[in-house]
Order: sequence, then structure tokens, then C-alpha cells
Amino acid sequence: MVLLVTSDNVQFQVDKEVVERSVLIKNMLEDVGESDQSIPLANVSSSVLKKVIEYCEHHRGEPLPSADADQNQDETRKRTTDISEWDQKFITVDQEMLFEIILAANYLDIKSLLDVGCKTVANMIKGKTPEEIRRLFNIVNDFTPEEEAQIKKENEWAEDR
Amino acid sequence: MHQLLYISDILLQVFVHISQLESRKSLAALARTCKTFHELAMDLLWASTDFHGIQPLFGCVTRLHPLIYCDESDESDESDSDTELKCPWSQGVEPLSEHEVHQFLRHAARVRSLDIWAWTEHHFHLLAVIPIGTCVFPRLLSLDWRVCNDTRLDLFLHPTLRRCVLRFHFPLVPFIATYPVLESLSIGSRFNIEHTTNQLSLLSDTIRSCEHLKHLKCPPLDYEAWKHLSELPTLVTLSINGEMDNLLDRDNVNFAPFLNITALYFCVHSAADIITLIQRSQFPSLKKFNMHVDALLWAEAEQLFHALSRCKETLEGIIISAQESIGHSLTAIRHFLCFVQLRTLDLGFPVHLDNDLLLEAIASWPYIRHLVLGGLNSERPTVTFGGLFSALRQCPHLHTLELPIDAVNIDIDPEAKSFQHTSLRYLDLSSFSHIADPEAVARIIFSMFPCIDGNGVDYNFHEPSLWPKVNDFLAQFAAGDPRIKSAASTT
Repeated sequence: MVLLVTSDNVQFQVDKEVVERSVLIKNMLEDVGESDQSIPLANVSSSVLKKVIEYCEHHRGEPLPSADADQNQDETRKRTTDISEWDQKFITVDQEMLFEIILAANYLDIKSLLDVGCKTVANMIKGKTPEEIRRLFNIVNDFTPEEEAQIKKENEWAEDR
Repeated sequence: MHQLLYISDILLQVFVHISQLESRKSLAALARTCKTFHELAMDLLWASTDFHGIQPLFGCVTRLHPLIYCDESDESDESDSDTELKCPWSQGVEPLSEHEVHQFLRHAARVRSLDIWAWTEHHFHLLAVIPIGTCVFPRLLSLDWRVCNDTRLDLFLHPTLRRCVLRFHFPLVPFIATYPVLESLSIGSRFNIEHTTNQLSLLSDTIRSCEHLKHLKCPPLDYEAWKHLSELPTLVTLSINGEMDNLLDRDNVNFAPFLNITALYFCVHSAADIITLIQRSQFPSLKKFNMHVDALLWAEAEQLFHALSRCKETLEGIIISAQESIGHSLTAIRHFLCFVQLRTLDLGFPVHLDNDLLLEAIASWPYIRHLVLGGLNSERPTVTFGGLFSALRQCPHLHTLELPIDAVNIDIDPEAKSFQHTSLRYLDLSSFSHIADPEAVARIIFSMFPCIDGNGVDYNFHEPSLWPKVNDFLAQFAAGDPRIKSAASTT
């Protein structure tokens, strides 16, 4: 078992096999060797880590994505279209939690979870207008009207699909 | 705005997923959302302009924008490319000024992949002010040139290219230089294969500059180019199409082993250079060999088969055909008995085959899936149904079978149902086969091959009226037999 300590100082005892889905933690454990020392995760809160552990538990034992998988376009395309039913249900959370899970997956280097999170955000964006995207993510429009009009004009060819 | 949306690595992953959802419109929307998103979204959006080619770049020129986009709301039955060919928007338009060239180039550095269609040729006069050889697309990785001449090809041929397809011919242009990272080069097609000596010389120079080629399709090569290719460990597939032959001097061929080539494809006039190449070189990884020649002398074929036998441990697929073959082979099949890994054998010229030889051959190829032995033969077929089924017992995984058969002398009893081949899906016994009783033949096929497609039995040159009747009977039998329907639904 591995002891993880979150940013809000909550401790989690997790199976080594489960926690090693995080490349960051796997590397840390390899560097430190057998030890009872806890691993502090200063960037992850307890509520988020609970979700991350739930994800890692569910995917325990599955092969980790290889480093060169990203270079295989077909594989990448396939991964884009497929979010498994369980993953979809798992990632159906409010936007704040979704973003925190993505940040945690990025920090802990859990590629498959990062992928699921980014696909979910991509699906939220698809088909929306700039104004709708701004509203969705609380973004301030920092273009002048002239700048925005110019960009629209240059990208007019892309309006077909 | 959440801090996540400022992390460019994560944004990039999200945007890449959007581009893979084939949603250009969403990337364009992201580019207008805020300055944080703008550059990333624009880079992905402009990375590939798809069938639009360079038209989006012209659309960035203030003077040209209304010409390009003004008619989009007009209803027309014609496709965009038809309209472009008949009445291009650039007709009668003055070339770009230097200032306008800057507008044209505003996003050119983002472009990674370009398809240049034939109609683009009508717009090239607008680029007259850009000097020959200017690096217009400094990050271009992939070019598909579908224009039938070389006009302004110079603007697209950059040393950054990893993939280059020139649909018509190798260009005769002096600026062809080096392509150090080129991995895939494809030139011409089998229907457009005339190249001058100068073009082939330039092609040879270009190929010798490529150090990372994986896939090459091109006209016939000279000795120096072949020698370079033999020393390229990256090369995996090689396809030669063209009419010039005898470029290799058989007494002076000294190539390194083509270590990693797995597939060789030839579509050429004669087999002379191919024979020299195979005889004098080593292909330790060769799995597929495809060759189509206009004429194949039997003596040449013997030499080729003998040379190919050096790859007997690796070759899994052999396809050889000739427009015209001179003589007919008594020994061809025997030459192939040593290829123990064969999955596919397709010989498009007459070969001698009898029941014993067929049985011996099939027993030699435990992995065979696709067997086509055809070609116009003056010999009457001697393989019978009895011989065929004896052989097929040895290859339960066979999927496709075409060969001439003696369907006149029926030597088995279809009612006995002693054998069924359940893997065969495509069967064509009709080419050059003789037949007397279509119903009897259909009954044999129906009972022995429960999973074939009834259309697999094709027409016959000798007796055109009888083989289609076999299909008619098969359809009748299948309609009355639920077993056939269930077998078909599982395929």
C-alpha cells in the first residue's frame, strides 16, 4: 500500500498497483524504493483525489498507453470517438470538478484520464459559437470588434463543416 | 476563466480532439473566442486546408475576398470544382501586388498539409510576383499535387516535406534539391507513365538525396538510384511503374541487401530489369511480390521464379500477371512449391495443373488463403472436381479460389456429401473451364461449398451460355434451403 497526502491534508491508503497508473507516482516509488514514507500531492485536493483513485481502481490492470501511441494517427482517431460507457458516467461531473480532474491527471501524468477529460471538454465545445463558448467557460472577449471581424473573414472557408 | 484554460498543453489536447471530430467550424469559433485560444486554434485550423488547397490563403487578400466568397449563397446544381473549372473567380484578375503577397502569406506558415487540385492552376497567375523557389510554406509536411503540369510547383517543394504525391509525373524543374526528411514519395500512375530521360535523371538525383524514405512509388530507376535504395534501411515498400526498361546492366549489378523491404510492386513493360534485380540482390524481409508486365516470355518467367525462390522463407504473397504471355508453363507451379509461407498466389498466365500437382501444391502451402491460377490456356483443363476436393481437404482456411476445371467429366457424387469446405467465400471455376451439365455442376458447388457467394461463378469465354446457368441453379437451390440462408448471414 502507498500513503498519499492531499493538499487539504487528507491521507489515502491506496494499492500500489492502482496508484502506479500515475506515471509521476510510479517514477517516485521507483526512485525512493521500498519505504513507508507518505507521498504529498500538493496540487490535488481530497475530493479530486477520491475521484482519481476511483478511476484508477476501475482501470486497474489495463495496459498503460505506450509512448508512441500518440504518433499513430489511426489509433488517436479511434480514441477520440470512443469514450467507454463507464468513463462517460464517471466524468459526468460539474465543470469545476471536470477541470480539477483534468489538472490532476495532467499533474499525476495519467494519460488515459487526461484523454477522457480533454475529450469531454472537446465535446462540450463542438458546434458552439464563440459567444456560447465564452458563456460556457466564463471567458472575457479580449478582441476588438474589428479584430474579431478580421479573423472571421480570414476563416470564412472553414464555415463549411 | 479557469486556470486550466491557460495551460497550453491541455488546451492543445482539447483542440486536437476537436480537429479530429472533423469540426473546422468549432476551431474557427475557438480562434475568435479569446486571444489565449487564438494562436493554438489557428495553427490547428490552418494545418490542413483539405480540398480547399490554397484558396483560403487567397481569401486573406482584401481585394480577392469578395470574389471568392460572394457567390456562395447562389444556388447551383454544379459542384464547386465544376464551377471553378468553367469560370474560375480569378479569371481576368490582376496578379497580387507585393503588399497583397504579405496578406496571402499571413497564415502560410501554419499550413502542414496541402492538396493542390487541378483547378488551382487557374489561380497561379496571381502569384507571378513571388520569385521562383521562394519558401512559401516553411512547415509543409505533406503535398498532394494533382495539377497536370509543373507551374508554380516550385512554391510547394520544400525540404520539410515528409510525404509528397505527384499524381502525373516527375517535374522537370531545376530547383529539385534535397529532401532529407522525405518518408513517402509517389509519382505518377500506371495510366500516365511517360517520362523523358531528363526527368528520370532528375528523379534519380532526388531519390539519392532522400535518406529516410519508407515508401516509394515512381518510374523505373537507374543504377545509381537503385544502389542508394539498397543502402536505405528505412525503405519498406517500393513500387515501380513505367515504360522505360533495361536500365540495369545485369553484369554490373552490385547492390547492398535491401534489408527491410517487405513489398515490391512492378507495373512495367518487360520483366528484364526485375529479373536482374531479383537475381542480383537480396531481399531478406520480402513478404509481397506483385508484378504486371506487358509481355512475359516463358524463359524469363523461369528465371524470375528461380530468383524469387531465394525469398521462399518470407514471401507470403505473389501476384504475377502478363498482358501477353508467350508459351505456357509446364513447371510454374513446381517453382512455387518451396514457398511455405504463401497466403496469396495469383498467377495471371497459363500454367499446367492436374489433380496430382494441385494436391501436392496445396499440401505445400499450409497457410494459403487466396489462390488464383488463370490465364488463357490452349490446354484443356485436367483438374476434376474429385481432384479439387482432395486438394481442398488440405487447406481448410482457403477463402478465394479461381482456377480452370474440367467440369465436363464429373467424377464425384454430390449426393454423397462426403466433404464440405466451410471457409471458401469466393469461387470462380468458370474462366477457361469446359462444362456440359450446369445443373450437376451447381449441385456439386451447392453441396460442397455452403458459404460461397452465388455470384462467384463467373462467365466463360468458351461456352458463355452455360456458366451463368450454374448461378441460376445455385440461386434456386439457395432459395429452397434455409441452411444456405443461415450460412450466408454468418459471413
